[in-house]
Amino acid sequence: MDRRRLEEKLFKVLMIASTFVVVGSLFALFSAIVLKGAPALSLSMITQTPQGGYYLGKGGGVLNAIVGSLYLGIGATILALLIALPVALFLQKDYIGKSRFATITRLSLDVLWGVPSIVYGAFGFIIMVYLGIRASLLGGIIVLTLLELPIMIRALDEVVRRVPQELKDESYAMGATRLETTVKIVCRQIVPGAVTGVLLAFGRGIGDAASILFTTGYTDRLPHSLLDPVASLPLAVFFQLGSPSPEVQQRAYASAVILLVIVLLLSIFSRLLTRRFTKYVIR
Amino acid sequence: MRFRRLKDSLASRLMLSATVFSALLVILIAVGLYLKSRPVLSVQPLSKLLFSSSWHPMNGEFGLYPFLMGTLWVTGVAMIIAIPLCLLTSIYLAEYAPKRVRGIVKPMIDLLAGIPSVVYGLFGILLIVPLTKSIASAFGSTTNGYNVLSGGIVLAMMVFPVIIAISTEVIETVPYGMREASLALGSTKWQATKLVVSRGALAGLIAAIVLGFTRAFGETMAVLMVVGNVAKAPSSVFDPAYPLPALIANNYGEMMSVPLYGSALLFSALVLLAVVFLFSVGARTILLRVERGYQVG
Amino acid sequence: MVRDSGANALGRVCLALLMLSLLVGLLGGCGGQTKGGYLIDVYTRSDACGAGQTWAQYLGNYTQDDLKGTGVYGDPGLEEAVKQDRLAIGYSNLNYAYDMASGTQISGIRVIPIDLNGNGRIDADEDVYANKTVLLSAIATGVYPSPPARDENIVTKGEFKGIAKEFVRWILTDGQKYCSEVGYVPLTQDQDESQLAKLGNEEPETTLEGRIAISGAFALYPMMGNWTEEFHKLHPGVSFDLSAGGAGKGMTDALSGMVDIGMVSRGIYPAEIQQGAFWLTVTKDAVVAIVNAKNPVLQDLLTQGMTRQAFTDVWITGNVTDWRDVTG
Repeated sequence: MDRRRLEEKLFKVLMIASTFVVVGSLFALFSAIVLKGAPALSLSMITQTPQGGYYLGKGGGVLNAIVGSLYLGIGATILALLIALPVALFLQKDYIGKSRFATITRLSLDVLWGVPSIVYGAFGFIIMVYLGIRASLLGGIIVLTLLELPIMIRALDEVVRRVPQELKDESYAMGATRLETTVKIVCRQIVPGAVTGVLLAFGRGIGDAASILFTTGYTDRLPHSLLDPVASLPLAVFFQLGSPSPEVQQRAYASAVILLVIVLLLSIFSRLLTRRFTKYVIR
Repeated sequence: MRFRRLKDSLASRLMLSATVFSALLVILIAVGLYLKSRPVLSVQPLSKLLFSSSWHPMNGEFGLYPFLMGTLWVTGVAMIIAIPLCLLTSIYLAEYAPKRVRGIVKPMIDLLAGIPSVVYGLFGILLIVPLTKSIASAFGSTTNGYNVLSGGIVLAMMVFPVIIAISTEVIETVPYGMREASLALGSTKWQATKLVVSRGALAGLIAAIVLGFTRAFGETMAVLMVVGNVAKAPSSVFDPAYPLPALIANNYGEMMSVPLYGSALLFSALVLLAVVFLFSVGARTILLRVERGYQVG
Repeated sequence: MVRDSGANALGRVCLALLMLSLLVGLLGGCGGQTKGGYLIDVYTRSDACGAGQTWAQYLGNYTQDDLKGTGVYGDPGLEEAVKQDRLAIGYSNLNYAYDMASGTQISGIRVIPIDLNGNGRIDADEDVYANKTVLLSAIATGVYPSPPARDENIVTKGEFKGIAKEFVRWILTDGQKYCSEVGYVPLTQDQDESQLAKLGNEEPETTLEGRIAISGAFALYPMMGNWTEEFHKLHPGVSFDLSAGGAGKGMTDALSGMVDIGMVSRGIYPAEIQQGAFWLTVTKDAVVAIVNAKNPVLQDLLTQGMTRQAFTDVWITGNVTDWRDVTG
């Protein structure tokens, strides 16, 4: 009896310690960036595009990158969701869940997830050169969608599979079609878990530099059309870090902080929104 | 009634095409990589490319062995660090943590997922590189900090969000019934978690770990900033290494202006894809066995 | 519920041990240097870059892949690595060794003087490293050898056309006056004329309007940022899409038509010329060798300098591995 409680206590300590390490490392990361970037964070950083002498440390901000990243991240995530949700639902037992096809699909998505983003960028680049289009917002959204797709499908897949079969059977017993069951029952159940998957994918997409380096270009202006090149926060960080001027390097950290804040706000916002749905989840 | 059936079959068809598209993507990429690798494959035999340690691209020598080893070492170290930490944290968050703690920690971990790779790399240079220097001296070795261990630690941090987020979801959705049955039989909470909940969630946990692993294989920027980039297979965690994605990222500019070099780089991407594929197949086989053994619900 | 004081104590001990090891780790990390002795810690650039290529060329007919050492990403990365390592030796673009505003050497780093005549000490005419201005004029006059001083080039496919051509013309004429302020060497009269001749005749455009896309070397990026801004002030109708990404990317983008102008911080390869690369030199800067300011043999190093052969022994052959052998 004592041994079991001892084991429980021991593991509880280990678990809390692990959480500490994980959260602690995040904290260390966050503080390191904020400490380095805070001096350069100002209202003008968020509200202005680069003005004269920006690359040498003088006036302006990264509004172009903020707007660009938001367009890229949100556009790609929505597009990915439009594809990922049907696929994840299709992978249920009710449709093809147990078949070879499902296994092969899951396998190929796993492999796709392991492709370095730079390969996506290189392919995107090759195709764009072939088609004669220059780097643009549209190219970036498409590449990011493909980048986000595997993680979104797999995360949604895991959540969809956890919906209890009894629930679905009860729906069928009342005469519903598969589609109706899926849309009305399953979708309600998966909302909190789906949010996790979407946020994971969004984070991956908005933070990636290598894939958009080749396909989206960079500019100091705000985008006016899908075919314009567009600035992005990860590239803003990347390029500004490479500058010899310490003020510009500080701005790189500040841009990273801005990116973090965007992800944080979105994460809090969406979790708050879905709190309403969590009470419907049946376990 | 007919109309509802029509909607159903239409929806099914749409879903099918979406799924087929997703499944085809990786094949398209593999084919593309293969086509781009043909030039270098025609110049050098496959065995030499894979097992030679001599990397001198300007002389036409493209031995990828050191890079393969580098990838395996760094990913291995990262997973040894990440798996226990993530599993313990997920169990804590899903089962034991008070609601407020969960509410704060979960968004924070989502945040980890959104941090650009470059920033992880900078953090690595600032804090992890000196850390491994002192860890090494505690063990009696010397290193300048740019080594496998630094790469592994940074990489582990990058896969934390993926594994924890999915594992937590999976554990949370194990039906209450299972836990209650165990507790009713007199187990402690930890016993219930260890023996019952983890069995129920095992498939999902393995999936989460696999996702973490494959992400680790492909992660580029952060690792290359701290891993040392020396084209020699490492023999200890305190040696520098040169993983395959780093090779591509360091030389991507030359990818297209020097043709044979570019072909070799894309071939190394193909090799990486093959490694990930083999790993995924292995993991999936284990997963299928587990699923067959423990039917939930 | 039974109070398990024993388990609680165990828990507390575990936590304490964890805290202790973390503390030790942090303290150890703050200690920094763990290597004793005089072993040279060689650093090079991991990313394919103009600086690495230029340095390798300086040492002989080598390429960047021939350089030994721990590969660090980017100029700032290499600079940081040398700053943190007492026994380090590395190379960098001079703009990373000298402060942009004040022109003095950055704290934590010292530039290694090159012993040009090989007599074992730095003579008065070889001592050009006091501040950036002195070094820049040494590069301009050729006292500092080229390589490792290098031409910064821009490249396009076929030829420059339209507004891009006029922008380049401006760079070669009025644009040159901005070079020194940013930390680059303006072209000499002769170079200027020859590049302008290569560029060709003026376009018959009167009002300049449109977008110009530029990408490429980090080394030229700050200068190009400055040039694009100044040109935009003169011709508000012309806007620029400027990104960095490395010399290789600049060449790739230019040759594939993705950008109008590619920035390349190294010489152009024959293979690239074959694919249609047309290039012009627009300014000059240099790669310098650097060491940590707390190097054990710093004083001797600064008075004796290092010869090209010494550099080769460190970076290519690996024959010299001890700082004491460098200074004798």
